[in-house]
Amino acid sequence: MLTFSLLSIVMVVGAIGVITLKQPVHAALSLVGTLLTLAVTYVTLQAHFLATIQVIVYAGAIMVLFLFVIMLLNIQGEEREDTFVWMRPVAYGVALLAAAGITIGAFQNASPLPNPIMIARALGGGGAEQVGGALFTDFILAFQLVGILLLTGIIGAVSLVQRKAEEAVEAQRQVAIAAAPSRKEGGVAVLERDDKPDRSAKPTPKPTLPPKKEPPKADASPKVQPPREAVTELKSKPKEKGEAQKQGGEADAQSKVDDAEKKSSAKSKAKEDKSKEASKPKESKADDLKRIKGVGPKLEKLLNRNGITSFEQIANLNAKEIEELDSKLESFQGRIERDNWLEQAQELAEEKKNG
Amino acid sequence: MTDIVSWTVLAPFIALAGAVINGLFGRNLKEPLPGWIASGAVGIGFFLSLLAYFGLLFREEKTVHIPLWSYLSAGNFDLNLGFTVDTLSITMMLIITGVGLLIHIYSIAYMHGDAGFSRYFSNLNLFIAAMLILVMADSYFLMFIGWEGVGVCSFLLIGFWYSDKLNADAARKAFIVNRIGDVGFLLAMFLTFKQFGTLNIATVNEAAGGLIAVSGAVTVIGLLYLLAACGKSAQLPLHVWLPDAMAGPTPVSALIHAATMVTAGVYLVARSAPLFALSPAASTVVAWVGALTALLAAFSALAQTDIKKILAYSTISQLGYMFVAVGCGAYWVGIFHVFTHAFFKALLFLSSGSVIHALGGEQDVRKMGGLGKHMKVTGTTSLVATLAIAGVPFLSGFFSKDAILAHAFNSQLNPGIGNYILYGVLLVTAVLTAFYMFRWYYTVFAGEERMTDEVKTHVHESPRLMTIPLVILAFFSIFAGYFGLPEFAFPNAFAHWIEASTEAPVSFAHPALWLEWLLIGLSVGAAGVGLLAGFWVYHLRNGEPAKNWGETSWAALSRGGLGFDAIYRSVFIRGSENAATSFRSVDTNLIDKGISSGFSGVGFLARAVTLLQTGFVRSYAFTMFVGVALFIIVVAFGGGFK
Amino acid sequence: MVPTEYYIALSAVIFTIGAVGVLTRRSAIMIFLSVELMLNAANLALVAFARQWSVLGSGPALSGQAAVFIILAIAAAEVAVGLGILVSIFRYRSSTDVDSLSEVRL
Repeated sequence: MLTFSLLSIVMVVGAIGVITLKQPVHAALSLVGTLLTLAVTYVTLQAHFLATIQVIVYAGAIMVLFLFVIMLLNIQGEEREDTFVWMRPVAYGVALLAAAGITIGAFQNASPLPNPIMIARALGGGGAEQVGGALFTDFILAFQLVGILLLTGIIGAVSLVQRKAEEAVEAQRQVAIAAAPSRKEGGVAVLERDDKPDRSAKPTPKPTLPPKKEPPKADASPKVQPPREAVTELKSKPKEKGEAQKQGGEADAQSKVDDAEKKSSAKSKAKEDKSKEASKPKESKADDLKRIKGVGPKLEKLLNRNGITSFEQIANLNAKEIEELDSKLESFQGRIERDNWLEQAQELAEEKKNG
Repeated sequence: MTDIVSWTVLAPFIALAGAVINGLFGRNLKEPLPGWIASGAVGIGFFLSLLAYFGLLFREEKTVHIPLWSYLSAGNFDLNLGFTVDTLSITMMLIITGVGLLIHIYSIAYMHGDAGFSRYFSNLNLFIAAMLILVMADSYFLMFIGWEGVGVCSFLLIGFWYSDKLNADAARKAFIVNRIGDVGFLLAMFLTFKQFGTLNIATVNEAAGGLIAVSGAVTVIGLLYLLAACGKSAQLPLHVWLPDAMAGPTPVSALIHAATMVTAGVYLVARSAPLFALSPAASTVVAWVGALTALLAAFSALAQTDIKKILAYSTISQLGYMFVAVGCGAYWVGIFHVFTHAFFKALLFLSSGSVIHALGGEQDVRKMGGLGKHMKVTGTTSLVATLAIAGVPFLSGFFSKDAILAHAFNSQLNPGIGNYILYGVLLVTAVLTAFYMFRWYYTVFAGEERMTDEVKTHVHESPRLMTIPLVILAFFSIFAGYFGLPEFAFPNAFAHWIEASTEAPVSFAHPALWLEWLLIGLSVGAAGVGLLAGFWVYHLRNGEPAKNWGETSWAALSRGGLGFDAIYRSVFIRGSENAATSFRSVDTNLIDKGISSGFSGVGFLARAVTLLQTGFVRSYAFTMFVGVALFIIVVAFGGGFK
Repeated sequence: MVPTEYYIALSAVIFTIGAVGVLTRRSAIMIFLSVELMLNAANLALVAFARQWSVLGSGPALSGQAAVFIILAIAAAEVAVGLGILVSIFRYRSSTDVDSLSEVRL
């Protein structure tokens, strides 16, 4: 009994740690502890083989995978306001009730334990021989299916994360860059896409940006980036536009940091529009590119980052430019043709002119 | 089908066929053709009726029953449709098809040029068919079918020129008032079935003849049938539709509202003679209703200015006479008056039509006058009819009206002073009748010409298709009465003929001969007084006293039909209109809004449910978790995990 | 020996803690961790029952442990695929906030 109590206390503390610790790494380590304790518990339950497997597979492989991903993505702790504040107490309450229910049910329906000799005889110490015997005779089908499942899992996992060569290079570089500057203020644990120096024809604006931008950049979500986007390789006077926009963008970004909302790109689009309007209308105002079917908020940002902000620009793309733009669209490649952006942009541009 | 009498069964169906042909194809037929088709159908019907009449005349058993179909058989309730052709129904059929034929022919000329020519004849044929079914029916159920049918046709024909709202309103009024009577008919049918176990008229009459004791149920049945008859025959208090029904074409007024449909009520009572004879109370009510109606309608006719409205009130009044007759148990007398009245009233209406036609649509008698000079045939025949209706001796009206008076006086159904009062009322009415009919004749056909000059140039005698029926009807107005000479002294074929079908335990006193002659003298005197008064007022005094009287409140009362319309409007119509308005507001506000808020409620609910679809995985997980937890809790605390 | 119901109670507690974790944490990784907790709690319950029903013979008894074995394998596959999904989402969103993945809503 003593063993059990100790083990259970450790396990519960570990579990609570999983759900309450802010830093993912800490939480993962807490889970590791819980799992190891669980393995010991298995031993007390005459399931030695399982205990071993638990340590090797679960606490070993799976948790390592977790930690690996956490570190790869450099996930930070979260701290923004909760959308479902009410969920917390309700969840606690319901959980308490459910646990109580199960416990009470268990205690009410308890059958007496068989004597240890019988257990030892049945389980055979829970050794590999016994479990393996069961697996390869009674559960052979399940065993095979699990094998197929694992194969599927591998293939699936690989196909999900695979990307093309240059993307991979890109991603690496981003990780490096993102890891560098300080991001001490609150805000989303983001892996920020930086302004792409390789995308711009003129890297010069670049150096000017970061120093000015530090504070807003830190808290501004990437959605505020487009106003900062200085360059388009397609239109003239990118610099001026960039400056002007950046001024406006900066000012607005500052004010809009607080309600930098995670959700509606609509809001960010509104911000974008406003900031764009505030800027010098030298260049045509940035159009709502999302009106083109096939362009969503993410894609719009991408386009803006590449300097495309208006319908006229898209409508006037020639074949070579289309190709170039297309290659920069990452996973959205092929859309320009497939969704017939040129025609749509043409119409929308005319509409804008007339309306 | 070798029985010649049973061929009459074809008559209504031929008329129906005529109605269908004209209704469906009439539009494609050129003008007089639908009229001739319709007249032909009715003509065949008349011919068949004539054959049947002669067939019945020479046989002992003056009833032929022709079963048609079994309509419904449920348990011990059997509804079989069939026709009964007996003396009563043959008489009615002859009137219907005979006068109907004349009116059809007349209408060909009268409705010449009307856009709804074929529709008119289709409706007219339909009416004939329905009326024939009504009089030939062997059960109350089938009679009710005919009853409703004529009501519908009346509606269709009154509102023939429906684009004028007034006409449509008049048609609606007629139908609704009729409907009230129909409720009486239905209730009476239910009670009849309950009391007698069948709706077959012959069976009911036989059973009623066998009942000695008078039961309250029979009285109630009688009163309900009276209600139905009041609706159809325009008696108090359901008479208000007939003056308005003059909005229809004049031949319609002649056929439906003078000669045939309105007599259906009288026919009903006569048909159910044993029933009514069994209940003196109901019969007395019938008689009194008739008498009051006769008097009040005659009074209302005094101040009317529309040529047809005068005749409408006159019809109501004469129908009152018929009701008195059947109410006193003198069933053949009532039918006799139906017979003679059909001729002279139809004649009066048709000549009015002739006048209206000649004057280009003018119907106000104050703008007529002296037309006798220009329209000789019309004028002469109208004079004949006027004298007939007034009760001038040796014309048909005299015989029938006198018979009514005599039988009212001598009735033993409910002996007592009431009979004498009835007689008195009828006598006074006779005076009024003679007076206002003289007025009618004089203001239209005699005296100074009050038409506008423009109209005067148009005045012409009507075409032959219109005048020939007039002449034929005038002939019958003179000679039809000789079938029913006063019984006490002369052979009376009509009474025996009809009584073969209306056997009922009624009896009449037979006072001394001198009293009978006195009664005749009184009725002649009444007619004379009325006519002389008219002559004095209109011819000698040039209508001055009439004009003076016309300013009094009595005249206003008369003109307004004794205020029945006004009373009904304020009591029933206002109330229903208000109720309808409030229901409408309930409908729009409560129900429509309720339903639309039901919609929006559903929409609201739907939007509330969409709150579940937040898109946030966590909320979904939460919902699932709560569900599972609930399940666990319920199972755990409920019964345990067995 | 500790009676089975204690183990079940412990399993329930851990399970509900895991469930609460799923509901209250906002980062996808943390949710994953909580899900793992839940899986392990279920495994514990299975193993406890496997011991309990050894009275019926080694067949039923070992089947509990075999089930745990298989669940373990499944959990491994699930984690692999799940983390793969997480990584690919993360590439485009730059945040692991589950609440921002709300494009499933109407």
